[in-house]
Amino acid sequence: MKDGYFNYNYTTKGTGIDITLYRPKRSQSFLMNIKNNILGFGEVSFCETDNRFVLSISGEEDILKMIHLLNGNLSSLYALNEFQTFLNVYNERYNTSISFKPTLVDINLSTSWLSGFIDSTGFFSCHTTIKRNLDGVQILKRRRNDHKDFINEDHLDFRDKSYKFSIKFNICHCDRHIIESIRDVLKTKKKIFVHYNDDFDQPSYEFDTSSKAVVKKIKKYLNKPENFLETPENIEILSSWLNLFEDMNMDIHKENPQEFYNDVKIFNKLNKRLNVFGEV
Amino acid sequence: MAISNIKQDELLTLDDIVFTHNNFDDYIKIMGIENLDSSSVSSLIKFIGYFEGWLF
Repeated sequence: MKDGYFNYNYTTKGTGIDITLYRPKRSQSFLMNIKNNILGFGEVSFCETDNRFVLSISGEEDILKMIHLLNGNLSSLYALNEFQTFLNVYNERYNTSISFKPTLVDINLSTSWLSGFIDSTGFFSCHTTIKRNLDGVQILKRRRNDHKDFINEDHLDFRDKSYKFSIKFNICHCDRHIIESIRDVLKTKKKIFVHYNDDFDQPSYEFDTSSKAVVKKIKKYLNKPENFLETPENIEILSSWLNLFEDMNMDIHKENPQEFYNDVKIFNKLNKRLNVFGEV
Repeated sequence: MAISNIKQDELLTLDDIVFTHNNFDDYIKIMGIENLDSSSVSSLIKFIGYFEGWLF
């Protein structure tokens, strides 16, 4: 379920338009902070049908403020297209002629855009792979963001040196331009994979990496005060992820797979919590 | 944020230069303010990041 909407309601009395941002109950103070300290306009209320709090921006004047805030300052192609349609509707509704600025701002690690995007999408996840090398390499389990089906540790013999354990940091999103830009910003040349899921009407794109240099770069970026994560659901989880990933000593794990697996279990616990938080 | 709008006592950093890539002139006008300090610009850019993430 998405959280942000450009809305237009065509009625016989005219076109009603507004912008709405939904967040879970626990994020009420976060929305209030956006309204009071960042935007200075909008209304926060509780939406019983969605069981979520909503920040609504409506009225010609406040929507105009949002238009000027977003126009020329967007970084994703998807948002740019959505915004262009919204601007056209606004111009028609209020008989204005605000020009659309079609340029995209490059994603970089020098502004807080990426931290906001990470915080709102929570799109970092981890792959844990367990292989056993018998007559070639056999993949036993490859897990991503799912806890309950993970391999039963009772069936693993950690003394068996034919098992190989690895972990990768994964970034996934349905805007290919975003994924390519983030990959380039992190200066990794990883291939981008396309995934099709019956539950969504558009494919998603992802790349993964086990590079500690990349993880270190992300952590350094998110540790800047202006880039701190702010939504309650992500602060602990993502920082724990980053700390765990960075601190894992893969050399030790090669010698001591039991220790590696203990860390994997922590990862999965975090994954499970993230999934829970992802449900509204 | 234009470089000329940054206070003299603020140290110019790469962040400040990147701000020039963002267009807040029309926003500043409509909000009826003279300029935005670097902290406000940072918060607004972060909000735009949130907003774009929430659209999906």
